Amino acid sequence: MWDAFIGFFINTLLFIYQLVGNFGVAIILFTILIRVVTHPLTVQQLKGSAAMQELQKDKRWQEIQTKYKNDKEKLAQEQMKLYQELGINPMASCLPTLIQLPIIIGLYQAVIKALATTPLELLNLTRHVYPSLLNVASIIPLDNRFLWMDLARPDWLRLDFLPFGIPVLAIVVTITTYLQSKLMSPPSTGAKDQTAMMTGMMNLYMPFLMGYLALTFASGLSLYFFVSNVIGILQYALLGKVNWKNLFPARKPVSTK
Amino acid sequence: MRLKYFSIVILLVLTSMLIGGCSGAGTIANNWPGITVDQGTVYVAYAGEVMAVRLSDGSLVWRFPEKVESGRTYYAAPAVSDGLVVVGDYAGTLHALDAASGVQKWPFTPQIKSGNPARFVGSALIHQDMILAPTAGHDNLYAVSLTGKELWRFPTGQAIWARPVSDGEQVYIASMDHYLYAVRLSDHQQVWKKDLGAALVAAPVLTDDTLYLGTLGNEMVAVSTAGEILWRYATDGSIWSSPVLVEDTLYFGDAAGSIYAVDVTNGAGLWKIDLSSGAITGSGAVVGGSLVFSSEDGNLVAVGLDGRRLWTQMIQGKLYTGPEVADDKIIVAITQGDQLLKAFDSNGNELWSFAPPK
Repeated sequence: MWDAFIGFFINTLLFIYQLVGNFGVAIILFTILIRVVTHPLTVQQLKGSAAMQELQKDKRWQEIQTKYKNDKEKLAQEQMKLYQELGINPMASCLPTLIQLPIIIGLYQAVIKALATTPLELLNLTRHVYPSLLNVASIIPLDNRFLWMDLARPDWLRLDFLPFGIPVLAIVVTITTYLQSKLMSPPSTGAKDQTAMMTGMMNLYMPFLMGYLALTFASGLSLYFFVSNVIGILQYALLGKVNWKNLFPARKPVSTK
Repeated sequence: MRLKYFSIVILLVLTSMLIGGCSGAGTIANNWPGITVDQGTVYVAYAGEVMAVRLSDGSLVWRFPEKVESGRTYYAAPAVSDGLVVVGDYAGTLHALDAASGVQKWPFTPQIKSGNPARFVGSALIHQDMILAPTAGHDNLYAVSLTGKELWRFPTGQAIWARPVSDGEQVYIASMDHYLYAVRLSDHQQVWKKDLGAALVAAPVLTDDTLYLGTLGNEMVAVSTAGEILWRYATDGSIWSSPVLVEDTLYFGDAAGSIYAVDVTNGAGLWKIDLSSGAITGSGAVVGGSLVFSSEDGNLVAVGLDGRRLWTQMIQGKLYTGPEVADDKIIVAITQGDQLLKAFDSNGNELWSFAPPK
């Protein structure tokens, strides 16, 4: 089942490669395609998040948080009641994310399997190819080169005048992950807003984690991370959900007292 | 709150493990072992090590390097000649080792102006006073002196996984770019190149005036040493290894799991048997007037030159590497098995097995 799922992704990716003849461009187009296909899930996720955000501002919600702060079971019951009363599905924001997870993992695997660099990896790749869709003899081996990169290896741009390489993709993946997480974070609802605290932690760690992955993984995968981040920001911007204030926070007024 | 921070860190670590584990996206290469038998010793390259094992009893003679380096893996069958073992790694270094002790004589790392290092995927050829080593990544055939100095390099359009062959005047290079190249050794200039229509991953077999090689486009092709295609023979699956030539017949297997016998004089098929045992990615070997082939599902199969199936030995693990025969012993290298090597006599009786000591 999972193999068939990965096979579908690989064939889609290779089909695009067969059309454009460049694996870097194929990864970019493939990423755009996936983001477009999963766009309804993103919209649903945003709606769910917005509803939860509104709920946290509701007086009744804040009251039960204070009232039952020492009784988790009762708190859960009261929260559930409130969800039902207001017609909010608490899973509405995370379910689309969970559905997207296998798609993202499948995409990773498709990119990596397509970038076969050894005989065994290539043999396994040929087994995923649909012969009716793709001409194996003509597309294999894939041309792994894109700009200065070998997409099957981690990216280190080497310049003649520098004695060391520059991990360009790792840097741009770190920056775009940071930008994405900052721009997509909802505004904080209060000083004791635990969600905002959690988000803050994620905003801090996630860019470094993604940067580390981009540094150590094949650059084809890092290219996917980068394109996915950029498209994510554009997608949120088009939906009017980008929070520019997070990026350029207004200065707090200085107290004159 | 500390517990919450701790949970977030754990979540991030798990995410990275999930992504890494699922994608296998690291730089560690994954392939089958390469083996060569010479002068009573089996040389095997697999994962982080090259090992020498006695052919007589399967005992370990030496292993290289002393300490396994992360990211440096060896899979190409070592080339052995005059006490020298030459083996390349996936991190971009060609190593010359003393055949008796395994001590490194020299390393050769191609000088690359920019980009990533070359990868040594295919086996090298030791020819007279030079080593001809194919690479992937920068797609050159490197000619290296026996002391480890680069003499010249010849570029092709894609990775070279196949061991080159030479008749003393020209070297023939089967490249993944679909071309078979003939390069003059005296001035390392291209004499001709021929598009065979699909990637070439296995070394050609060279006779006086003809080269025989399989393609990933499901064909066995005969090409004259002047660069003319003499015949093509269609197979069910892609061909990943060199054919075996016995008198006027070529014997080879394909990824669809069949073994073929083809008349070299005209490319006519003589017989074909379907092993139904997974892909055949390694070359066959001749032992005692019969042929042995190994298949992905772990079967070592002996067939007569007339296509009769003689015996089958089931081995735990996968057999991608073709068997090697020396002193009437059949040696197989195993992928994903409890043992790395096993030896059989010509009737398929197991003689010894070898697993690298921890």
